[in-house]
Amino acid sequence: MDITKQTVYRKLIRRSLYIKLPLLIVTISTYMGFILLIAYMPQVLSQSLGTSVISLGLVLGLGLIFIILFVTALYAVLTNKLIEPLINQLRKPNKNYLIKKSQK
Amino acid sequence: MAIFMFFIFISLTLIVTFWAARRTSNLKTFYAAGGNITGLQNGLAISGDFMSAASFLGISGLVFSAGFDGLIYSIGFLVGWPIVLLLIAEPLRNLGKYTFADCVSFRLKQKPIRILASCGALTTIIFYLIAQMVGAGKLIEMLFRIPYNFSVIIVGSMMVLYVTFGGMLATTWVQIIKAILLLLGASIIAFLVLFNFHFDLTAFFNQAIQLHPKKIAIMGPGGLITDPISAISLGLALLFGTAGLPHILMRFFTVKNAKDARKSVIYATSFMAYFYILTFIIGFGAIIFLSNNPTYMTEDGKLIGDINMAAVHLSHAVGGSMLLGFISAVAFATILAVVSGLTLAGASAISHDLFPLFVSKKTLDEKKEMRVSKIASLILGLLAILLGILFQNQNVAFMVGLAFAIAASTNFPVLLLSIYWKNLTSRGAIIGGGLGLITAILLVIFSSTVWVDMLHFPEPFFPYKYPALFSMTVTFFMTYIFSITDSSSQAENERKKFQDQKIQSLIGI
Repeated sequence: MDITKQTVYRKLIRRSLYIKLPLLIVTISTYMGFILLIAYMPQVLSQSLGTSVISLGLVLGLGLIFIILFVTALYAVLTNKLIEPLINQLRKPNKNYLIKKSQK
Repeated sequence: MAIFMFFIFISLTLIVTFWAARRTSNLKTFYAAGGNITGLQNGLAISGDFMSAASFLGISGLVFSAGFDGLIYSIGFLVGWPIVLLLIAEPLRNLGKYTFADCVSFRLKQKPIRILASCGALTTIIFYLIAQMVGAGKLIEMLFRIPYNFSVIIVGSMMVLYVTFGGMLATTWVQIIKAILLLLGASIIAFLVLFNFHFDLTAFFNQAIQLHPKKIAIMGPGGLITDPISAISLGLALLFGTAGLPHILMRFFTVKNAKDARKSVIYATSFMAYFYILTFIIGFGAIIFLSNNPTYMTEDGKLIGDINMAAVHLSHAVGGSMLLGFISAVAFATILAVVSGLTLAGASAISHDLFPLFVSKKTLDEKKEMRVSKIASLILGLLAILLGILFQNQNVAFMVGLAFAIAASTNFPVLLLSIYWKNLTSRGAIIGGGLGLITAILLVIFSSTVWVDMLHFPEPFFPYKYPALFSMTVTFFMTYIFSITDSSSQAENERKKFQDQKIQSLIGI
């Protein structure tokens, strides 16, 4: 049977989009936001937090590193839980179909 | 002590190379380490490619001299990884065999697409290789007091030896060993630094601010970023360039399947994030322990050697000659491991993508392709030595920035669109990718760094430092225009094949 008409396949496409798109938007927007701050408002980043010597830039920079780590970790968890089972479901019954296609 | 550690490492890597050479009898082992590397091992190898001498010594040196600015680079090198993970890693593994050109040419015309992809790959690799060779030459010159040219020749010959004999298997294991040693060494330095402050970060930063000539200014952006357009352009190059670096993309073929490709990125990102936080601590530590210390500073307040020596001096200041020896040996290992990976990626672009196009299928066999690859790595090694000597006065960080800009302008857009955009045709990819590559190179030549500083013209044609913002726009726009207007039967056929490619990219075989 044509793989694209199977409900599992459609589910796979939809889920993968719903997982990847928000994570991509978070990564690109937070990073480009940081770059735009450096480019146009560097003095904001130099500001100290309260009475301490730690600057806003330092906190945001380290925060960005944790966002990057969080995005990769979250993707791993979501993919293992929601995507991998669907792929396995599709792979077995369609094995002959996939091999035939790839040899073409 | 340094010399002793150094020889231990060299012998260790030679044993690995010898071991790998005995196993490397076919192409799959030579290009992809037999496809048997685990996710964790590949994660270490990938992070090893990024924890280069340029980033370990360069970023800690940048933090030492300018504070916060070093963090901008660290974040830039990290942020490309979610992009690789979300968009590239898994489909690339499912569609390709040894190089990213395999993936791009999956449903497009083999010959022109492979030529384009290898031009993009080779240009990126040569810029990256020059940067690493120059950094290597300078470092070895300082560490072991060997003349610069001779240092470059040593590095070039060692890398050719690793690559031709051990292929991807040796290159990967040398990279893994070095990544572990570097993470260990950097952790020890950072631990010893913070231990002196009883892990009180406020006291730590306070002390650094008081000792640094720029005082509190080191906690915010400084002179690194000169104008907003250049900042955005460099930002884009770092964000999307990682996903177009051939030597990184090639590593995804050393694992079993897409799941392991995904795992590798997650491990790699974690190691790198940890490592870049360490370099930040090391840079600030260097401010505290090296400033005003006549052992490490000249009389006019400059660091002995160069700011790139900050981490090396600091290892001596907090850990004595034992730690100094260890860190110097690891720094040397880092250089060798990174240039070997680059050479192998370049050689495979020549032998796997270009060479088969120009010989008849009948005469082509695995042995022949492997021999071509070995000859190609020898030529690339010679070229790297020559260029390393020619470009010895160029800024290393700038050259790395350019390699990222070219990767982001050609390799990344073509790869991305070939995976996700149904309407991409061979014509669109070749015209768009080709124009993007040419634009990036021309803008570099017309920028002040080359046009004014190297060619001595009075005014630059291109007023910004980095080309990515403009060249990426050219690539995407031109690829779009020339793909949607393509109504040839070839184009129709390519669009038809997209569905099958999509299925394979998601599920694998």
